[in-house]
Amino acid sequence: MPVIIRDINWEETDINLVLHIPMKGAKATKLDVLSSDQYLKVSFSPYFYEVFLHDLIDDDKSRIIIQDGFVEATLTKQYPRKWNQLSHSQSDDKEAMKIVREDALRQIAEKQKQRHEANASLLNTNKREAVREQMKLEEDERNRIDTIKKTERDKISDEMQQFEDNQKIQRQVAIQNHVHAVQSQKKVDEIEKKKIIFEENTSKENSRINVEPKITAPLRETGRIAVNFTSRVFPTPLRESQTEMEDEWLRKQIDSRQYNTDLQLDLSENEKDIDYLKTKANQFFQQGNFQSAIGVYSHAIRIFPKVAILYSNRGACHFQVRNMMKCVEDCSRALELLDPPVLDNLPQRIKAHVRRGTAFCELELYAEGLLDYEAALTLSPDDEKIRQDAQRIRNFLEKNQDFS
Amino acid sequence: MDKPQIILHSQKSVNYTVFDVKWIPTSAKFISLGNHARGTGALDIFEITHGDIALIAQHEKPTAFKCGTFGASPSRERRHLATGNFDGYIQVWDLEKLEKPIYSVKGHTEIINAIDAIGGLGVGEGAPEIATASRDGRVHIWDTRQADLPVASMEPAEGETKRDCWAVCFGNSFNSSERVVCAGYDNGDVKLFDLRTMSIRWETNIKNGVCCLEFDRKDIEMNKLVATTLESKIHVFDMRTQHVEKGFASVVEKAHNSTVWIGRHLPQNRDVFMTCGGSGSYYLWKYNYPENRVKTQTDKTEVGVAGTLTLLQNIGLSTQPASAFDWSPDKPGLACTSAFDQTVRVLITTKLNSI
Repeated sequence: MPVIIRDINWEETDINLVLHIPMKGAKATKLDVLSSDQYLKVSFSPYFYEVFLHDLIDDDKSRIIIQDGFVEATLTKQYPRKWNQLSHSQSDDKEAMKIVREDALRQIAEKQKQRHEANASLLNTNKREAVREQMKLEEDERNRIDTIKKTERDKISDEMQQFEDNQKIQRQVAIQNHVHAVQSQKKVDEIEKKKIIFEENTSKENSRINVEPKITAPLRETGRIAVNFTSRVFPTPLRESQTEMEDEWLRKQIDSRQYNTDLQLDLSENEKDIDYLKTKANQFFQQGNFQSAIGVYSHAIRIFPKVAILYSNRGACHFQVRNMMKCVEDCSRALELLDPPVLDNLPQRIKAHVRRGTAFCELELYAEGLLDYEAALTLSPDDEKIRQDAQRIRNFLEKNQDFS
Repeated sequence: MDKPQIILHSQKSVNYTVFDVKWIPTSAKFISLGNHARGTGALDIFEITHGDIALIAQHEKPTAFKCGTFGASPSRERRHLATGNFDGYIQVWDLEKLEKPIYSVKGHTEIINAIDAIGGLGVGEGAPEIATASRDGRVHIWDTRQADLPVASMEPAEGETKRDCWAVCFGNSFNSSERVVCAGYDNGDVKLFDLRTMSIRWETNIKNGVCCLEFDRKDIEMNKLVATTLESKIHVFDMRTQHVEKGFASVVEKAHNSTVWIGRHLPQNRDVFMTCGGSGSYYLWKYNYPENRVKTQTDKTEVGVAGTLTLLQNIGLSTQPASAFDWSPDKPGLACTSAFDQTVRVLITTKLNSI
């Protein structure tokens, strides 16, 4: 419960007013002061002292010191004159005091706010200054580097000029030496004095004395070295980042070639040969006999369940007989098998995407169809036909937007 | 600012795809070889004048060119350019008379991917020879004194499926009998053929297709070999010590974030080289030798120790891959380069003597 201190001493001059408030054993660190231009409250728990001053003081110039167990408050008066009393006449009026207190608090709050704003704006200007300085420094640095570069460039242009001239002179000298050497070599007079004009440009009308410089080294005996290469299945160049995927694909290919030995059917040799089956199915397709082609492919798939091309081709057959859902299924299965995506299976993947996309569009599932076409386009960005088809689907979709 | 700077001196747009650029020895001129859209070959001669590139001469030939070299030119004054074209023809041209080649052979059945030459320009000893690498999997060595047939060939053995040979280079030509040819293939094989003994001296597989090979010097005992490959890898092999099983020691660096198309050593400092990437970036490297280049193992055999690579500088000049790069043998730091954005550029690298 806070205790009001009343036994204070005070003195005044024209300019100042000094208050001595006994600390009564409280700790100096716990001192809390609230002051405005006509109100002062000093509290150090559990004691506190407040006074509604008689006249106005200059809050900013006033000071509080702790000395000898007393709080000494030196308040600078706003109007230098003697007060003769400390508290305001209305001090005893509780209502008045309340108003005064509120006023004081408000004033303090305002002062805080102002100080805060002043700080903030000061901070801002400082920041801007700093940024400007920084920019100037960087600009200077850049200019310095640019001037150095420019001097280098100029120096080099001069050097280049010298170099060019030197080369021209050297070439002239070399040519003259060559000419002299050539002329002095000839023992027989059959060489007439042809005027030799050597120009820097390649010119076609000049005649030259053809002297073969003697190549002293003997011609090499013909030899041959047989070379063996590190084996590589794919014809494409080797790339380290692709090796893992390529190996996986090769393994899958080898796997898929193993035919399904779980089947207990008694099959002739032909019926186990995947190429024979593919050729047969192809023949049926060309003849327009799509159902038979489907039959052969299905048979082949039972024996070789992991060969992607079988699913892909069966999908094409389903498309021809308008079994769009089955076509989609087969193309999806083919794409699953064509993983990991390497350069080798790229054409097959593109075809599968395009086929499935078309099937989706036939089923009026245009959004899905567009997805497949765009996938095909990513794989083969140069194909104009795919691009145009994709654009057509996109336009169609936009026109028939369902605003649901 | 003490690092070497790579500065773009000038650039010029052309209307064909440029596959190779080479400096003409003892001049401020360079040639570019390429492929017009109509399928014919382009051979242009440019000169550097007054801070710009000037087109001096333009020639068109029936078949597109893929690569060229001056390395077997008989002298620095008489410049002979050896080229490989898209039809597998290797031709040698006299720059003063470009109407007809002075040597022409259909050396390969498919496009000649790379060409290198040695023994000319007064550099090295031994006969001037040209090596060509082709998509038909063969490497042929040609001498202009022998028509129609190569003097040496490295071909796939009987029954072997051929692989694309992408890169070829000469080396170890420190006297008139020694010479090696190194070939790189698209399946990551690197094979070193010894021409004196006509045998394979070393082979290895570096796991990525090999785009470019170069020894740091062709005319000394083989010292270092740079191999640039797909998937941003650069290998530098220390070629002084060959171990029976482990071969040559190497250091691998990953850079450019794209295929590294070319690696070229500075003619004036064999430990500095430039690599050019598929992203149009150019990286300048320095090789640092280790304390000891040779280490003796517990079984008394010697194995080489690879050093380290430091990146000195890099620059990005275009968005398209760099197709060719050539340092000028006459002016240190001067280089010409081309990219698939149909531009030829001239670069200057400064402060190379402070390395």
